[in-house]
Amino acid sequence: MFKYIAGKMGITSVVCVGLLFSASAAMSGTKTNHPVEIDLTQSPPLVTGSFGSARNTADGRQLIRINDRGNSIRVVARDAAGNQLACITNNSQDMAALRVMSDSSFVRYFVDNNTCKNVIVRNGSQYSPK
Amino acid sequence: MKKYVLVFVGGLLVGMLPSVLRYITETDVAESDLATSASRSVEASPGSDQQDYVTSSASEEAIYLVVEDAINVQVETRVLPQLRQLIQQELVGLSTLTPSSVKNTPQGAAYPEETAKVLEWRDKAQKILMDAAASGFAGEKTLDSFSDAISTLPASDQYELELQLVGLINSGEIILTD
Repeated sequence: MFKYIAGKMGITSVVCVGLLFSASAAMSGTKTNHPVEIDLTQSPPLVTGSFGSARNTADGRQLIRINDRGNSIRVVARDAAGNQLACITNNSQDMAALRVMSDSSFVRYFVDNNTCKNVIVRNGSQYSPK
Repeated sequence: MKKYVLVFVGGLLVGMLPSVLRYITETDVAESDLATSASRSVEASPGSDQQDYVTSSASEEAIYLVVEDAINVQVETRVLPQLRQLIQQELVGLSTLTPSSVKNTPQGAAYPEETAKVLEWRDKAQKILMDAAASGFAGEKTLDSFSDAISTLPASDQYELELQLVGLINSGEIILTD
């Protein structure tokens, strides 16, 4: 009798877990991947990427690093191919944009003569957190 | 009757006294003005006869004193703050000097202690950059040491040194290791 009940419970548990897995897969939100890309063909070069995607890649090269010292901000990026590009800005608008970056942010900027230009930061649930 | 006439004339004279005094004073002022303008015209035209030169009167000296006071006030309110600002700019300017140029300057030892510290940190930051460029690599620790070294420098120096670092990274002279 006991064995019968345990067997019944086991089957129920397996079914429930299966249902939960299928439900979570169906309810997951939009996810986008934005590895670090340094487009040197553009003039000036364009850098795009998100913190989360850079960190979660397996290549061990991708990097976005922001150094904020109040009156200026330095940004360093490196893509999967090993290309590296750094820039600095003391433009108040660009600095304000960089300061809203979180671990699930996407950033896009140009590097014109070692200066970060036209910085855009996007925050959204689709960007992978670190 | 004669007595009444004398009293009338006496009263008349006393009554006219202020007017007479005012006339005399105004005449003096007018004469002194003439004397001043005459002296100025003589000074302005070097070829004229020096005998026409009339020395300044007491009233002109008083005017000079007032003008002098006004100039002093101007010096205190305008010139001194400007001088102060110039000196401050010079002090900031000193911080942009390289250590080698300071050594070559006899006044190098006379710089304020604060400026000497700025130069020291600037020197340290530049050494970090030079060492990184010499090795060809820089890791997170090196970049952090560089950031710490320039943190006490004036904003313009910080930006200039940051720009040097960015230039070395972008030229490939410094490869980031982590």
